[in-house]
Amino acid sequence: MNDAVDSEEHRNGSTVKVTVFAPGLVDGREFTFRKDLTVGQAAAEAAAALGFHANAPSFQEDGEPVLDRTKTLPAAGVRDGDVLELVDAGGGV
Amino acid sequence: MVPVDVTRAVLAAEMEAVHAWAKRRCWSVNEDLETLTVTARTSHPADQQPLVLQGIFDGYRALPPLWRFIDAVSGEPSRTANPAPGAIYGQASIFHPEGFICAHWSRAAYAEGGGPHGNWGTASGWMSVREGTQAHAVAEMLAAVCTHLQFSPGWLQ
Repeated sequence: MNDAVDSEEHRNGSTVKVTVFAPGLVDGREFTFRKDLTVGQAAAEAAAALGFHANAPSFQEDGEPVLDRTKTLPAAGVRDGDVLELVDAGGGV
Repeated sequence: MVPVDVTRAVLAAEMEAVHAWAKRRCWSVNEDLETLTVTARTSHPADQQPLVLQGIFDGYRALPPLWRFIDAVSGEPSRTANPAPGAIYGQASIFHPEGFICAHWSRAAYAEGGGPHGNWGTASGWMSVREGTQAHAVAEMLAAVCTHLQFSPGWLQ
């Protein structure tokens, strides 16, 4: 997301800024997502950026259940400043 | 076969990320680069009893690791040390009712390792299998176990 657009959209409340960790990386990275994205869409975007392999990427906060991939970020409880871990909510075989 | 020194170096290179992940998720992970084993410890969320998972990495990354759940008291692999399978959002668990991890990144899942998946070809093709949960690095494998563990109702009997 363009930085200027990012800032403008964040000021008007249409985006959410979070820190995302992937299992294979030591450090997290900040992401700004549009609030109309589903958890699955945002997690897929973060997974691609961070090189995380997943069939069904989702997020999880420490000690909380895996977020429902079909919900929008706000509906799933994602707020500004949250720290999220990428997880693969794909099944076994 | 991958030379032991190559596997040792590859495994060592992944461990910083593994330890960072483990710290974030409150797991304990120890590696033994001489024996090429990684041992991860946590507790089962169903009853808070200790869960021990050991990976044997000979041949890694040409081959996926051999993962085994270990009895926390005896230190030996045990059927009852395996988490019971629980569906994850309507999908199957990676915890197989026969007592192994059923995923492309688990050597025991392949027919040549005694598992059910002759349809995946040989274990050496593990990173090209697209079915089911994906994991191409040790931290990703432990993360998948951690995720599925949250849907496990208890232990295999």
